[in-house]
Amino acid sequence: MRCRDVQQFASAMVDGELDAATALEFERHVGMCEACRVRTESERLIKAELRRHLRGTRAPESLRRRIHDALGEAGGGVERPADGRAPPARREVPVRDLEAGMAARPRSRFAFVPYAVAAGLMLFFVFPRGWLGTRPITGASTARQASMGGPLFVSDVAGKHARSLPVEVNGPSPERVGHWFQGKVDFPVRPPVFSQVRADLVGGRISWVRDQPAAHLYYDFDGRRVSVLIFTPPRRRLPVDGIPGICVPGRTVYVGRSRGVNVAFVQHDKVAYALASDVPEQQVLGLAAGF
Amino acid sequence: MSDKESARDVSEFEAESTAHLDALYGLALRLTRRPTDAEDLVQEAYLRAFRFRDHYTPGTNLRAWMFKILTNLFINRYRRSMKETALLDGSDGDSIAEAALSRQSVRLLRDPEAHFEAPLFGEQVCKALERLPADFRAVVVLSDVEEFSYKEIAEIVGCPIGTVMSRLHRARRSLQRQLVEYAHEVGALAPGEERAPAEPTDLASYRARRGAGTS
Repeated sequence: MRCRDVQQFASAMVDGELDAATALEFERHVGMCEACRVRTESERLIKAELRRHLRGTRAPESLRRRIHDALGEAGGGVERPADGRAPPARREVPVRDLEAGMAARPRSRFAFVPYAVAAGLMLFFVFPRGWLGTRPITGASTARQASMGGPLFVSDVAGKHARSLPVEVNGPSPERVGHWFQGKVDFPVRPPVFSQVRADLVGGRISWVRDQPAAHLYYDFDGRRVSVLIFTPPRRRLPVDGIPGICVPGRTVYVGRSRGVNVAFVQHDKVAYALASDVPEQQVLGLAAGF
Repeated sequence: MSDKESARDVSEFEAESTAHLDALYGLALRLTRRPTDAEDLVQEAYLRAFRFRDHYTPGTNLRAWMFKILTNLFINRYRRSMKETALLDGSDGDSIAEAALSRQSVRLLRDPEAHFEAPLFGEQVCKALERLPADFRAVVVLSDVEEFSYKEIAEIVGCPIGTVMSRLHRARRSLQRQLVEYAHEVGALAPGEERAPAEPTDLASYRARRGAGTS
């Protein structure tokens, strides 16, 4: 193990996250290298200091009371559905002080769109296990995976976007469009509501991504057309082998390009979302990060 | 649901979840950096957790689940409206000649009887943390204060484990640099401690070892 490795592994070492064999190599190096010993010790000290100074933070008593009152109110007003699913999204119960506290700053549209809140909430309960945590951020590909790899999906999605086919259901209501797909595809269709930019849902139609049934939604984004294809990915994993991944808050977005069309993939639960548009990559990325 | 059942439901949820209130408030405070925003964030996280309590499987990690809700809420609602004045060194790992704090320096910094006029060391630690971008603050608090594993942190913040590791690594480097600078300013670095020995020394010793067949 080299000093550079030690430097890279020092955090994992002090957090107790190194496997036994690597930890042993680490210890062996640190035992012989004064510089690395000092650096590791420093890292350990800083971790201890943070814990020492931040650990004892206490919530104010007034907050405890506020939460008690708010829960009492919510418990009286929210029915729990018998089937155990999430209650329908609704306007937030006004939170005391929030309006005043945030009023001076620009607000995202997110806060005002109940459907967006519902879409955002999906993230809270979703652990795409096969994908999250085990997957390298840039899709490495074995020969077998490459044969079903990302570029094929990128070009297919780009092709679907390029053909301007008539919609079968009209927007702009995401609920109405989503409802229309019920019984037509075997996965829930929740049209994205974009929080950062104005993108209006034009409508949707039944489509295909490779050989998977898909909901094809069209959006009007500042006069430019954006496609969102929602489908169940093969083997429930995003087909992104060989496509670079970019980590944005709450998710990883994979971006590819074909025929002048930028295509971004994200996954919620077991459902894949492919966004395609001829707007610049950064904007497609922003759209994929912001619903 | 009858009123009685509903009341019981609320009190059960409250009893279980308020055990984590202090910790959640602690994270909220580090994320928002303002007590009033932190309180709002925590209250909203509780309301959401309550509303979606059916998604929580009893017996699993309620603490991690609550932290995930709070973190996501912060990312989705608060962070976009917050002005970040974050500081993080751009280069990551090029220079291996790195400043480091020694046990002796930390002892000096902590010493309330120290002769130098300086704000408390604890305050400096918090300030250094607050200068990091929010994503980095979150992983540092989740790891160092709450002691979640990397896997749990990855699930809470919604990123691969590799990203958690690299954020922690960079965050700690920045904290270290800031605290060493502070220690230097207030004269708490022991002479000769300003810089740890640079890489060539290590490489030479490594080669010597390798040559001797010990590694």
